[in-house]
Amino acid sequence: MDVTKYKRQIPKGNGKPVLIDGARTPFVKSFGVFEDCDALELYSRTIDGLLRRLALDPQELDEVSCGVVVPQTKNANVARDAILNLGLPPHIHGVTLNRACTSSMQTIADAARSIAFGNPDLILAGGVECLSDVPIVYSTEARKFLVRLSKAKSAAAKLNLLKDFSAKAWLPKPPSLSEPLTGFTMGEHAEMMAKLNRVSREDQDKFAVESHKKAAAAQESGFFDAEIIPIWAAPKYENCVDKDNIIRRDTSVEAMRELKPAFDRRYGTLTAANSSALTDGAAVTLIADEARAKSLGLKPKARIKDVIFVAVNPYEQLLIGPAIAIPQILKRNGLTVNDVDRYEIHEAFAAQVLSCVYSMESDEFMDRYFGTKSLGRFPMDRVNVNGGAIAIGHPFGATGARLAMSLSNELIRSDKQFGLIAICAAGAMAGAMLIERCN
Amino acid sequence: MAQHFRIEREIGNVAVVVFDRQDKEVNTLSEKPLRELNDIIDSFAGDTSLEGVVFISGKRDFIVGADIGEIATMATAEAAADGARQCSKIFQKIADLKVPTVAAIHGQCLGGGLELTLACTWRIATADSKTKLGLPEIQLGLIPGAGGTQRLPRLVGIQTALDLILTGKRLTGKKAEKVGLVDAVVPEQLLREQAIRFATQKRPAHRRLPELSPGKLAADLPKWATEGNPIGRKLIQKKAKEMVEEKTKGFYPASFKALEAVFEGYETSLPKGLELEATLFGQLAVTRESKSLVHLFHATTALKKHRFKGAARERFGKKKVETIGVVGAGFMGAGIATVCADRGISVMYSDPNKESLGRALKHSRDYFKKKLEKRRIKPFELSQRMNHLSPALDPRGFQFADVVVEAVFEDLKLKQKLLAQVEAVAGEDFIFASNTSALPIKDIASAAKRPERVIGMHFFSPVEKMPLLEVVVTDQTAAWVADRTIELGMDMGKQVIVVKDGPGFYTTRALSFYLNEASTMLLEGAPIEAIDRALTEFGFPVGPITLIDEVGIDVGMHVLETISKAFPDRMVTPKGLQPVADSGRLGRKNNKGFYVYENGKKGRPDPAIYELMGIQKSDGKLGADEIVDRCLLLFVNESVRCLEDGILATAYDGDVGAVFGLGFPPFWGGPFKYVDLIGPKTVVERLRGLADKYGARFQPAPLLVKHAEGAQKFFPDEA
Repeated sequence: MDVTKYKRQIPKGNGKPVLIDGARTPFVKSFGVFEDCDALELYSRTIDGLLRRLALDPQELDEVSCGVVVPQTKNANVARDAILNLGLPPHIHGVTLNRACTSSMQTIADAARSIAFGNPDLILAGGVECLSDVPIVYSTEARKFLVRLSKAKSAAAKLNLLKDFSAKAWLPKPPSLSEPLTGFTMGEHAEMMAKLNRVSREDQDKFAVESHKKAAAAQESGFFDAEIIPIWAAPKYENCVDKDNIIRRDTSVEAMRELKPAFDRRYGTLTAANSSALTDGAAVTLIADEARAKSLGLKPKARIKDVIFVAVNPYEQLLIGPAIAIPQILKRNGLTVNDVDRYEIHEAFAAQVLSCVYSMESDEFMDRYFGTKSLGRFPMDRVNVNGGAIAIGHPFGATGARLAMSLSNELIRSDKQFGLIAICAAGAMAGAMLIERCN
Repeated sequence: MAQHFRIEREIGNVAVVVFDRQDKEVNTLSEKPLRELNDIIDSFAGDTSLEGVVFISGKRDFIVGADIGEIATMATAEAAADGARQCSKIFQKIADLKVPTVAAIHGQCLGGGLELTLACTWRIATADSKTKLGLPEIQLGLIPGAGGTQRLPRLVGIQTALDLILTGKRLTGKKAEKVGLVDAVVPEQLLREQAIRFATQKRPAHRRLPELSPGKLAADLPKWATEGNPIGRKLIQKKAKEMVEEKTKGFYPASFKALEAVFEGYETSLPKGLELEATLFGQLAVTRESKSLVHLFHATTALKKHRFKGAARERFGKKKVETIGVVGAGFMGAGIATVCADRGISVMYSDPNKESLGRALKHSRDYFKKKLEKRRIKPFELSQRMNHLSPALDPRGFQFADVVVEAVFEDLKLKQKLLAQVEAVAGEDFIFASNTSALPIKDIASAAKRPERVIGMHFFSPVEKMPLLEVVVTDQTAAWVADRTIELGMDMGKQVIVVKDGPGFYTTRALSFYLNEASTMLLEGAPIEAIDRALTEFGFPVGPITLIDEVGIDVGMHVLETISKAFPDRMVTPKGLQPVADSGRLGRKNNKGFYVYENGKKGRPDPAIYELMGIQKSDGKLGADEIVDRCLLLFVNESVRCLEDGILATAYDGDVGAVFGLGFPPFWGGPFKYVDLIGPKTVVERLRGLADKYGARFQPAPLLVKHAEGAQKFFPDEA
């Protein structure tokens, strides 16, 4: 393949990052229809699907980036591997990164910053998670034994190693989603937040039901069809998967009430139904310099105005970050909470979203972080109008890119101007992104 | 003064002999360079200062073999044997040198080239994937004539040697080292310096397998048990003969001579073995089988330089086809896509049917999975190939397809509609290729906005296995379009013939006459099995009635009717076939045809067929010779007409198309070579005899009559 990138004139840009369009796989329950897939395959198909939809000459692409939270060692840099796997021009470089659930918000942020820095780039930024293909690791003892065995030269030395052999060490360690520095899982942290912010079970279940109802309505109206690339899943390729499969249109608060708490059996309020499920899926957006995009005949959907990331003390409230990121990004851009037309607040848990909202509505919380009064009543009718991760699913690495594309589409659909995305992340972090619809 | 060799003396008195033919792009062994080599070796024999000799190539490849043209000029078995003897003698002189000799091998090292290295003390090869070592003589109906059947078994053992000699397979440097054919594998950049290092080392002891070395007992022991004693060898010989009989069905004498040379030679001394080998080589060189296979070698070589070559260069430079669109994910579409993905060409599908796409992807994966199991590819390569296949329900993204191939069913209107759709989205440089087997390309192109972009790419099923691609050009097809399409076909690993547009192009047309005649005989009462047996015994891989079952009775009937409409005075489709098709028999695909199928396996002919056709089976009335003549000569005659009509540009296209696409016996070289071998006069006489008996369809083509009258040949340059 001829490399033409460096021969031609450096394209002209205007330094304004825009989102052209996005694509994603259907989001499906892990250990289901994508059971035999891996992250590379899902991400490759999504990239290919977006390129074909946009009829974009891959020679124009500069970079592919990808967020993955639970990576497989076999494709540690999924982004670069996808380029080569698809046979795309080899000059396209690729990076894979991990900022927990804000990973693909980070890839979009990186793309936007590079463009704002003056590189008139065309970057595919997104993420993927295939928890069906989660890496199972051996214990440290087992690993050490294997390494020593491979280094042992003689048969005697090999035999000698056997005296240290412990059968127990060979039990594989299932991956844990607990915080390395607190020892609690995400769910346990969210459970603590529910108690701290007095978020009732009833409110959580109501919130979850709403999420499903809104998502089901969006699904039926065909809103997601503009995003989804149909996937034929390896190795049998029997079914063409073209719909999200976690959304339940017929769920109800009554039905959810029956469920047992998942993280605190005795006093807990979080259940499988008001939490997001383990999900497989990939999402990617095309982020471009506005002037370059126009010269290529690409029509931008939204402008990326600002991105910020924040972090708090994990011992406080692990997933409270959005309550800081949202006021902060509003402040930076001179906007009030009501100036934003549409919010996408990532739904890791209903309790976590509501905790963030309650906090922003709290004088005490806002005073502690910003030295101001509360934001006032948060406009909940503008939040997650097409449902959220509780209904649609949450493939960790892909969520940021899904929200960016979905919110861009929503601003066009509802003919609104500003959209704001906030996502909480492990490590007591969060990110927020402000976008504006392009005319 | 040597023309084809340079001798470069290195420090330490090692002579590096660089083979670099001045008259050719590749190094082949022919009389002149061999004479020079002989003189060089003679001069070394008397040189007492010499410490070692390295043979290396100044070209991309080491030595690609003997000069085939030169072999073809040897008129008698004795002359050919003598040629082999001369060459063998020179190589023996290399073996007799008192100093170590090293063959430094990079690129192809084939036939006589490999035999030269076998006479050296050491062989070292590069790790490059272009480095291939093999003895392909068998593919030309010959055996290695300059020591290959003698030195190779003595070096690597009988079984490994037979594997190479009987199949002509080529080994990489690494594989060659594993079987003991080369002594070291080195990076390309270090080849010369490592070869010089080897050139000062004596080989420890004469090595003759099977030896037992303590480190490799697991590999050596079974070899020692079988090849290490005369009884074991007799056993292998018997097994090998059985295998050869089964594989060649007795059609290829070279395989049997190879066994004779290897086994007889192994039991005797090297000089006697070499003499036996040369004699057998001589006998084979004048056989019809070898002449036919050599003819096919010339034909395929000639067709690589097709008449459109370079026409796309101005527009595309060196840029090859990187992405294709495939419309229709059926069996053919899936096959085309699989072959492309296997060669690193990206494929965009367009098919509104989700199930078809799923099946197509599964088909590809199964194919690659098999390759993985056979260790032809690695797991990541499977993933890479699968990801080169992009499924979609519509032609979105076809802007970046260099070539769009349609592989939907044979419906002119549908094809025209697809062409219009593709034209609406396609980019500046698109080509639209139709994989039709019979519809005229000009009809498909008639509705096109840019008819010069429309071309035929007639693949054969299953695409992964069948080597032929028939590219069909119309009067309007642009030369660059033809060039790019042909090059794509070659990149897909296909043997390409280029034919002019017309009913059934070449292959379908010739085959139709052949199949139609078989059907006619069937309706005359000739038994199914008698017809099939006559033609398989002649050398076709399957008989014509079986072939109709394989193609599908519905498809076959459709094609026969299309062709008979185009040539009504020469071809009438027998009416009796219709009830067979009407009975719901589709052939193998629905397990019901002229034969009975059980679980996809062909069984006996179905006796109900005769009743369906309303006839009585009449065993034995028609002799096998007459069956063969009627089918074959009609095939040959129609091929000649295709040449007259300009459908075929050259007789080479016809022979290659028939052999690689239609199963014409390679040892007859194709329909045109067949005429040359039998003699045009005989062919014309036999055709006229058949015309008297069966009708005017057997009237010989005017060109054939002309050849008979003037005793002309289609290939006057060939022996």
